[in-house]
Amino acid sequence: MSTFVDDKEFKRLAVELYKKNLDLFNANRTLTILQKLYQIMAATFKMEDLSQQYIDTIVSDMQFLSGAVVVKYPEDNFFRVVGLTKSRPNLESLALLGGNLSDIKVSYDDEKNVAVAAYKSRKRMYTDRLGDVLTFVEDANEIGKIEKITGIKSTVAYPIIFGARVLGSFLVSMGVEEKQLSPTDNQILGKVATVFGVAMDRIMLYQNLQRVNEKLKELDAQKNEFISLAAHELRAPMTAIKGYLSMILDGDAGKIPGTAIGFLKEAVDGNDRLIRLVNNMLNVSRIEEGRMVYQMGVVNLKQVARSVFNEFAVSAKDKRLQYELEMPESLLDLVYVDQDRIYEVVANLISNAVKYTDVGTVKVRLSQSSPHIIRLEVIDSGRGISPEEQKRIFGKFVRLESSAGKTVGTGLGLYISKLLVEKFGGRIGLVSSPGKGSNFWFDLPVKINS
Amino acid sequence: MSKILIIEDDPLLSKMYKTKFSSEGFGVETAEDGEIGLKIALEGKPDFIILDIMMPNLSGIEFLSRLRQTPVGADVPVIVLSNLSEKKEMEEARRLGVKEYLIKSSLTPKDIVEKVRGYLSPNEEVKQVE
Repeated sequence: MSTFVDDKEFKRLAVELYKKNLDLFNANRTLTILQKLYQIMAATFKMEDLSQQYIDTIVSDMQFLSGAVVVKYPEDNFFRVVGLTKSRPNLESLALLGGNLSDIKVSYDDEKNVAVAAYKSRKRMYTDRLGDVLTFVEDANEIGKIEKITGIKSTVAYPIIFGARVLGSFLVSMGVEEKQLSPTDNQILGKVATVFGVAMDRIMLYQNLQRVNEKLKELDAQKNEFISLAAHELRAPMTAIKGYLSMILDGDAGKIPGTAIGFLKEAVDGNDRLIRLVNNMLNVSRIEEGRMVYQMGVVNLKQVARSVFNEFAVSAKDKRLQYELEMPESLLDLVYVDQDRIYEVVANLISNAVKYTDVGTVKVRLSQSSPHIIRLEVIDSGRGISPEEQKRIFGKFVRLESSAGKTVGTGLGLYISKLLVEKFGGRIGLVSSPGKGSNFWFDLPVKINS
Repeated sequence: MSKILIIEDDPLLSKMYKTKFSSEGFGVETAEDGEIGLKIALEGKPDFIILDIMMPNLSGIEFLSRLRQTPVGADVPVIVLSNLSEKKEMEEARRLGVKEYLIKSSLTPKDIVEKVRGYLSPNEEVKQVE
C-alpha cells in the first residue's frame, strides 16, 4: 500500500524539513563555537591569551569583520583592552594609535563608549558610529581614517557577566549598518557571553590566588628570616647564662650550699632546653628553606647506631631500664646520608625512648627485610601512643598530652627527623598502642658496595 | 704562663671567657673585632687564639686569612668559637687551618679551657668534649 502525497503537502513538508535542517545547522554551529571556547578555557590561565583566542574564534566562526575584548579589574578605574582581532586593517589602525594594545585605556566614566555602556547597563549595546568605540581617540580625522581602513560600519557590545558581577565587555563589528543581528546570531552571542563570563571569572580567581600565594610566600620568607635572626641573637645571652651557671657549679665562685646547687642545676636544664629549642628552630628553617647544606657520604649505619646507643647508656642505666642493642653481623648497612644528621635522627629516637620509658626496656634493632633496605627500630615499653596522637606526632611543635609534665622536648625533634629521613630517600614511622609501648622506625635505601 | 687572645665582639661573652681563662692561670688579652685582634695577634704573639666568626669590621674568616699570610701568624693554633653553624664558614675555617670549629652555646667555659689545654700540651690526656 502506498501513501499519496499531494503537491501542497509535499511543499509544506519540504519547508518544514528545511527549517528543521536550518535549526540543526544553527544548533551545530552554536555547539561548535561553544566547544572551542571550552577547550580554550581549559588550556589557559592568562587573561590576554584567553580573550585573544575567544575573540578570534567568535569573529572567524561567525564571520564578523573585527572584534575586541575589554576587562575591568576591581582595583582599576579603567578598562584594559585585552584582545583585538589581528586582521591587517586592525593592525594598521592600531599602528596609527601608537601600536600598543596594552597602552589603550578606556575610562570607567566614559559612558559614551559602547563597551562601557554595555558594562554598566548589563545589556547588549549597538552603535553605527566608530567614534562610540574609539572614544579614547581625540582626533576625529584619525577615526575617519580608521573607518576607511577597516570598513567598520556598526558594532555590538556585550557585557561579560558572571553571577552578580560584570567583568568586562566584548565587541563585534560588521561591515554593514544593521540594527539587528539575526536572531540566531544573537542567541549564539548570548551563549558566548555566558561562557566568556565563566572563563574570565576563572582567570580572575586564579590571578587572585596567585597574588595571595605570592604574598604568603613573601610573609613566610620574612617570618623565617626573623626566626633565624632572633634565634641567632638569642644564642649569645644563652651562652653567657650557661657559662656562668657552669662556672658557679664548678666552684669558680667559691663553695655554695647544696640547695643552691639543686636550684642552679634546674636553671642549667631550663637554659639547655632553651638552647636546644633555638638550635632546632634554626635547623627547621634551614631545612625548610633548602639552606641546609648536607655533607653527603657513604655511612656505616651500624657504627652510627652503636655510637648513639653508647651515648645514652648512662641515662638508661640511671633509670634502671633494660637497654639492648640488636644488630646482626651480616647486615648490609651502608647508606648514603649526612653522617651528623643521621646521627641526630638516631639520637632523637633513642633519647625519646629513654626519656619517656619509666620501667622496662628500650631496645635498638637493626634489620633487613631485603638487601636494598635497612631498618632501624627503637622499641620501648613506655606507655604507648594513641592512634589520634600517632597521626600528629611527626608534625611541627607537636607535644603529646601523655608526655605532659615530664617533657623537656622542643616539639621539633620528630619533625626534623622526618624531614631528614625523607631527604635521604627513606621513610619514618611508628607502631604503637596505649599500654603496649612504641616502636619508632626508619628505613633507608642501602648503598650497594661497588 | 700561656698567653691566649680572645677575639669576641659580644662584651658579655668576652668578659666571661676572660674571667674563666684568667682564673685558670692563663694570660688573657681580648679584642672586640677582627681588626683589633689582628693587631694584637701580630704584636703580642699569643700562644693560642680563640676566634668568633660574626664580627664587625673584620670577620673571623677574614681575620684568619690575613693572619695566615704573616710569618708570625702562620702557625698559631686557633679554635673558632662561634654561634654560627653554617657549613660554608666551617669549611673555610678548616681550610685556613683551625684546630676546631666549636659552637659556643653547646660548651661551657670549662670545656673550652680543657680543649685549649689539650692543644697546648698535646701529651696530656684530654677528655674529648663534643
